[in-house]
Amino acid sequence: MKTIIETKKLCKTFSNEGVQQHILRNVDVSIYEGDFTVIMGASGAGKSTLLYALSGMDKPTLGEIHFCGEEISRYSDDKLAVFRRKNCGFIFQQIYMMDKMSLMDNVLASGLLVNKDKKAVATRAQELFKKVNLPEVTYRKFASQISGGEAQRAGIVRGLINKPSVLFADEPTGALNSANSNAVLDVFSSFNQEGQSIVMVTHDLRSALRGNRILYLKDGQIAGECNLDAYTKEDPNRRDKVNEFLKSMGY
Amino acid sequence: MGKFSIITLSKIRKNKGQYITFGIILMIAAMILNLGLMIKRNFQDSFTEKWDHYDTADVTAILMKPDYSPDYVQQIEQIKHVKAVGTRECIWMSGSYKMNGSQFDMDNIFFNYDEAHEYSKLGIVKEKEITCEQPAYVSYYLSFAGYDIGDTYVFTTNNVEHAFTIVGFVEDMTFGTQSLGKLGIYLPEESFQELKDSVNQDNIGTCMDIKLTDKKESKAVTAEITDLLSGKMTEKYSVNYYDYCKQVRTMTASVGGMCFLAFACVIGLVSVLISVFRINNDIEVEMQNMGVMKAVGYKGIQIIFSTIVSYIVIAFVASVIGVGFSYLALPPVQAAFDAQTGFCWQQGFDVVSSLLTVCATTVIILLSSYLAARKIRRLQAITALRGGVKTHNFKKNYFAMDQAKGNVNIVLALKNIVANGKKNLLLLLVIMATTISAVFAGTMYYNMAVEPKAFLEAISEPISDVGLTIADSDDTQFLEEIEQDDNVDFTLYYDSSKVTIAQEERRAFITADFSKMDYSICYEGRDPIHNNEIAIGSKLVEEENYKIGDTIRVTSGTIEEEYLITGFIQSVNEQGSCVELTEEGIKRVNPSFKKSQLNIYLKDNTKTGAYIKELQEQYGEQILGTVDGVKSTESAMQVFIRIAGILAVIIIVITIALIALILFILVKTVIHNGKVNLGISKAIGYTTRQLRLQTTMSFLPVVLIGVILGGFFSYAFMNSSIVLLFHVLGVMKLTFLLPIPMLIGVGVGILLVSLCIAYCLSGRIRKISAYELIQE
Repeated sequence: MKTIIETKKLCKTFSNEGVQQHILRNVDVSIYEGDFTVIMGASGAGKSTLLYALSGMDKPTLGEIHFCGEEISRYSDDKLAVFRRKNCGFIFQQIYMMDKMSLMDNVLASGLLVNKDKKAVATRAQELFKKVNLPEVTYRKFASQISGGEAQRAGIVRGLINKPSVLFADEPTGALNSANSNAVLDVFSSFNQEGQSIVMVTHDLRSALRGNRILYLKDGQIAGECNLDAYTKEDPNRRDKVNEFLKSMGY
Repeated sequence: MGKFSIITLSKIRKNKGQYITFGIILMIAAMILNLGLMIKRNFQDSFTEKWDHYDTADVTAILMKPDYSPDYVQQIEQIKHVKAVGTRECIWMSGSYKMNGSQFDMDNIFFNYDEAHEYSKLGIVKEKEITCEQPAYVSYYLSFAGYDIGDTYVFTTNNVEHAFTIVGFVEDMTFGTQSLGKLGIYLPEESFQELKDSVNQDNIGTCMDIKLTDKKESKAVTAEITDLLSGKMTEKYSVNYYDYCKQVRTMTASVGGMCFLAFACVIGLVSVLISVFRINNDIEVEMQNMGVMKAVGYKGIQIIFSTIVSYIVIAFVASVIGVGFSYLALPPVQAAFDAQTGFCWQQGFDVVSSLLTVCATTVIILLSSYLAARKIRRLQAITALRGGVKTHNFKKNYFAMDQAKGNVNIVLALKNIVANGKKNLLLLLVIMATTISAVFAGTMYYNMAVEPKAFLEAISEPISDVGLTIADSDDTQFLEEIEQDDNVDFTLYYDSSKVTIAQEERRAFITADFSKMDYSICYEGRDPIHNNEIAIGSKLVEEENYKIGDTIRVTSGTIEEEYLITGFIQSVNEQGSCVELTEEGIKRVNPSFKKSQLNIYLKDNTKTGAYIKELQEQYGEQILGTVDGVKSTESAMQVFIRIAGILAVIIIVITIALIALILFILVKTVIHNGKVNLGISKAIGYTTRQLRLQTTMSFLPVVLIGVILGGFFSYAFMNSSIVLLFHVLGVMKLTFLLPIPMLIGVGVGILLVSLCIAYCLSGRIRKISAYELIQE
């Protein structure tokens, strides 16, 4: 399998009033094309920190990140921004739609950064909205006027509008109820089946089961890895395998 | 109270930059307001105090030797309200002297400095013991016209030069400036006697210093004295009184004070808008905290108090500091006024003005803050806890990105404009106000320093290139020769004479045909054409409520005649107390009137100085005096140019400071409120530069519209507004030029300054990180 992201001795340290906290410690990890990688771990283990470091949202303190062959860890802020718009899609737990724009405008504000052809971007957005089951009457609304599940599906459209190499999701179902969570996870699975690489951070076992590879983070290091390629989504042993893995990790 | 001080201090700490900015704006407003109040309240009083301090005669009458009789003293003493009459000798001569390097036409009255007199004492501002032949004390006013102690003061009359060495500057409350048309010069006994012996005896007169029991009656007593003298005077005479002296000596300061007050009001209005805007913003941001406060039992009024108290504290502190700074700014203002008024204005700490400034500033901010915050009372705790009702209307999505045309950054900037409606309205009003202020400053400066024609037309009588005092106006050959000179465009006799109307002495401007003048000072109706017609000054119009078509009685010497009013004229030099009569018209009341002032208008390329020299060489005997109109105008304009320059610089500096301060508050608010949106934008790939440009661009249309509206209102109403401001000076019509390039220059300047400031201030977007969106 082709490696999309590879880190070498990745470290991230936060400093607060002279007290240093080492969140990531010499993390060596690879993300592969077409995978649905799930990052799990206890609170404060550094899951989100790793996600944002992998995606170029934050810079590591030490170490290297190779993304599609580019070493991005020493990029300037603006260079990283340009890199992100072309290669990364983001989905946040709090959704973070720009509140003064309709859902469609939120998506176009991202899409038009890469493709200046407004018509082509709008057409792709409409197709994606259709795929995530959001009708026009909804995507013309503001995020404050729709449900969290609908807003999160619009978030996925925004994340995918530029055909990113990897879609990063930080606890995308964390703020949603059960029904909305399932709808969002279905969308993730559907896009992954079409070949979209996804890296998702979650606490939730149901969400984790959607992935084909689970990385467990403990004290800033990859403590274990669970590969689910051998199990189909419907296989009842899949859940047991994950449970067993998480148990072994002390989850 | 303790809980509120904790809330207030924490609010100020949290938004210290914005509170400091708000405080600076209020401080500037308080500083200018206090200056304006001090001038308006105290300047005229300081004149009265000086008047009393020097025991100045409340009415001063000068009669020439052939007309004077001691009987007049006795008769005047009999007039009601007259306390005593003192007399002193004087020499009254028409002529010219140098002002700021060029010759200036003005009568001088020479007094004996050593002669003991009870009233109208002089105050010595500066003196030095110099051994010289002809020492003289001159008015303090001349120290601003290019003279210093030890300099030579030369008075030229009938081609004779009288030179004196200045040994001191004095304050004279009656003849201390040119505003009465006569400037006092004070010679020690020996010099005075020498001058007296050398001049024509017709120039020697007696000055009657008339002290009243109540100086408020000075105008009424003057009217009775004029009645007494009317018809008996064969020579020139003069009667001046307290009210008139006070008005002419303090009018510049009055206008200055009004300018300060008007400007303080503009800045005050901006401060009110800022406080309202900030409070609305605070309510939006602090909505949930307010919900918590309501939930734990705070009453609505307590929450309102906690919201506005920080603004009241800042307003109070800033106004106190502003009042302090106004005393630092006072000396240059005093110096500028001294140059106009001819007496030292010494202003100490003014408790009333200071209190008024502090109270007005604090109360205005308190009221505007309370009115903005009172909606908190209606807020339900549960609604507030849920974040309150959104103040923005999200029902319509303006500039939908898939339909709007143009670059993505421009469309996003347009969306920002609509989303930040209140902020933009505030910015629009501020930009409009600052544009109007800047155009006002530019217009004043342009029309005083660059192209002063319109200003001169407004403040003075028609000015020719050369003014000649002719020995014999019946010498027609002399006039013909001048008219035929290749350098001369046309000539015109333009004289003035004193007449009495409504018991007051007024100046009459006289010429044979007013239509030949290069411009008319008539602001309504028309100039007189026939010998029974008259145009009257604005002061007369207001005093007696005359209308065009009314008749008016004019007296000169023993003759009184009736004239038909054909128009109204303006005159700053005479404060509107003047008339226009034709040459034939004046002869009805003064048959012996003889024209003597010939105005010569030269062709464009003629050098005035060289032409005057040529004239003097060729016609030395026929010419009694010459004035270079251009040069004397330039010198008279110096003080105005200086004031206009100072005013322009002050207004432009404050304009830029205001724009910078307002933008600081707005940009900071936009960035603070839009932090999440900016973070999202960064996360999806927008660079800092793009976001800074978007933020800057979002101000562009508002600034542009503000500049255009400000420019339009300036263009449409600038002249009428300036007339309103200068009305007190006697200006009734004004045709100030407002050049389009200057207007565009001011607009473009404000636009560029605003955008540069906005771009620089939006640099803090750099500090916003997409990573801040991560929430564990």
